[in-house]
Amino acid sequence: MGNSNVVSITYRATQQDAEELRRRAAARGLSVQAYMDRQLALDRDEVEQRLRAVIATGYARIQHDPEFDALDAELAARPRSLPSELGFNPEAQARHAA
Amino acid sequence: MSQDAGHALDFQTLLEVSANAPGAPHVQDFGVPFAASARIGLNLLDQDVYHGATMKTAALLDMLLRHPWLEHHQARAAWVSAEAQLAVNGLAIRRDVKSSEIGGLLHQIAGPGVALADVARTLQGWTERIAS
Repeated sequence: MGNSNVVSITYRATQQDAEELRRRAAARGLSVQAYMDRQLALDRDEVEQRLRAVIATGYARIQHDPEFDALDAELAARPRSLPSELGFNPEAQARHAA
Repeated sequence: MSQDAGHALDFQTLLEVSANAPGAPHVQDFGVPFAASARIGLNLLDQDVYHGATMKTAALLDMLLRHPWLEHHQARAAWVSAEAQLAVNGLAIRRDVKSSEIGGLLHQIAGPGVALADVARTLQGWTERIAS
């Protein structure tokens, strides 16, 4: 198959996709842009919900795991500077702003 | 490259993970999760510097375990961040992976350190695609 045929098939597929988008948007009384924006927002919500579930089940699974207890304790004992020692003090900033 | 370069978890999601850790620990160094997110999302010359979901997860674990940033439960937060990072790429840790194996890997990363390619290889062996 020559390159021109590949381009032609790709172009037809793209046209079909665009036509399908127009059909779906029209069926909902939306512009194509508004329909795509709504679909993106739905996708984002779905991803966020899935992530929240992963976070909740992830913590639940290791809640009583001694492997993590030991490493958590080890990391918490490592030397560190507090945010205020780094020069970051959001509470003072908030007080100043108020 | 033919393999999927993978998606990177953003800073806000890392903060959400830490906020959900037991006892809601304070973030003591915001720069660490910020740098972790920036690191795994880095793209230079039109190429991801950390290519693929497991390589990005390896770099994320490296950042979140080797620098103190969370008041407590840092290892748990790092691991759950890694699970979230895999999830946004359609991957999950297989249930038959023992917690002792995970703990061993995290201890190695937090302690002497492990080459990222080795961490990525280990994670590759531990993951499965999430059924949609």
